[in-house]
Amino acid sequence: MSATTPDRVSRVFVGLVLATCVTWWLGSDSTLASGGFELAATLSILIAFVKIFYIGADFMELRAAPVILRTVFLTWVGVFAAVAIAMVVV
Amino acid sequence: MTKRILSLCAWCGPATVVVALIGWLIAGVLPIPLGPDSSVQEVVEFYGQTRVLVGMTITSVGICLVFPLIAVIGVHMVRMEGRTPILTFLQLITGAATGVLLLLPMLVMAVIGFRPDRNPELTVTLNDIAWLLFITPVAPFIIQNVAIGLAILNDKSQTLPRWVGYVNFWVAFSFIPDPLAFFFHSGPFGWRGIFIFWLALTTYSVFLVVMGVMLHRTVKESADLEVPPSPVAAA
Amino acid sequence: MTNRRPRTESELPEFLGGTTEEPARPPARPMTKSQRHIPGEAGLWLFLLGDMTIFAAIMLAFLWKRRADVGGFKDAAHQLIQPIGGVNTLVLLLSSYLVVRALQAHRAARYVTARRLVVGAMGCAVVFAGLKAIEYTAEISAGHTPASRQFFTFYFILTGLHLLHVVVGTALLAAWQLMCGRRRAWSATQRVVEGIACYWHMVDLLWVAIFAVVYLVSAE
Repeated sequence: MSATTPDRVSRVFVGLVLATCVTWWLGSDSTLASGGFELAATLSILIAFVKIFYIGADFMELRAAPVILRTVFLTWVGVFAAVAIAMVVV
Repeated sequence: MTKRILSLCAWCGPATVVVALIGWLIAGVLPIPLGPDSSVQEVVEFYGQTRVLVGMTITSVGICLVFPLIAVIGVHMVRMEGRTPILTFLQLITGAATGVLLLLPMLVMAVIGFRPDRNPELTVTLNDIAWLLFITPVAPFIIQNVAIGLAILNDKSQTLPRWVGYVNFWVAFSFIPDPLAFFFHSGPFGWRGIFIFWLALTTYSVFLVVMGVMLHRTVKESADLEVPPSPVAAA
Repeated sequence: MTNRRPRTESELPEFLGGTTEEPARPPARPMTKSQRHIPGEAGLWLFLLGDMTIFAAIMLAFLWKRRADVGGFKDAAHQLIQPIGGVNTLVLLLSSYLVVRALQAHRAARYVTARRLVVGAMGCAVVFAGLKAIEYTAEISAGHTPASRQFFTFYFILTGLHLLHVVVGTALLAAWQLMCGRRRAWSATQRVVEGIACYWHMVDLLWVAIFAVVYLVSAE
């Protein structure tokens, strides 16, 4: 995996800001056509966890960390996201 | 001899958990304790059982096994700090306070069970006192854990592994929601709530077991206890 | 590793007859680039993941309670001032970005730059706290308190616990910028500084989750 270079950090930051704006728009009063709120809610949670993954990988520098730590972090985030989505959608 | 005593004190950590839990199981406090939303009837009926007196007596004795653990933690913290053992003193003082704060509520519960046919209002009041005294005074606990964590992380000779320091910080953090028990009569933030009673029970048990096991290991590995300290040179 | 040699005078506390001089410190081990590196140290991650787990459990409890009253939670969520939540998310993301840059600067021994960046992050924290204060005041004067309904109980407790973390994190950042001011070299401070940085990123990512779950999902 490529290391976290200063370049990459800037790109990740911009991506995080954009993702925030997307979820913000999703959460505002404009609902998507059919399957409205459930889709918006699932997307919001998914995007949040993608953001959390990138904060871990590039801000916390987990890319350069031993595999086990990366795996634990990713699993933790993934499980929590899945359970949260299940609680909202099911 | 000293080594054996230190070792025994370390084992008191896990022993506290075991004896206290057994006492609570006998008393009926576990698996489901009374809550702030329990009816007067439920509270009075609970304390009418003899098992409460038996169980709470056992727990009130067992929970004091925390004192030897605090002492052996103190001995090791002196080594970690060296010249000015302020964190050691802090741990000893707040640790002693935590022991008392755990003991008194257990005794109050036994007192309730002593005369179960008293005025129900008194029974409910005493039960409130017991539980709120048990759950809410988090400051001595938090200070104790933070002191231990800081001492371990600042220790140059790594008397205890560094991860133990971080566990202490996590335990301290887990106690923060507990004063919320004053504000909720039901739900996850009441005294019986999952983020109050159950979280604190879990993390405090983790603290007792982790400290006990790791200190026992450290005591076993340290070879120098039988060697008297080199005499201080005449000024 | 435990010390096996007998305690010397210099290691005894003063009141037990020890000396008052600083004992000699062992030299720091040099870092090799080929090693996979745990940010901070292993034990730190026990704390970070443990902390995150407690927050996650409270958020999941919130989502669970929501199932019993989806409409009520939605109405309550609409009482929140979403723009403040959104701006706060961006503010914390910015602060995290500054912290990453500060870490890179400190590593490269650019102490002045590092210090400025850390102070910048602290500034973001102050902005965050200020906006939170405004938000809390608005909610409470509108009659929404932790006791009014379950949504607001969780809202205040989640954001309150988070704010506590922001305060602790800011204190840690303050300590870091002092280290930069004293030009403490990387080899001596790596563990602590990376630890502080990771703690701050945790504060950031916790807010990302809180914003998504409390502000957005509930309102949708």
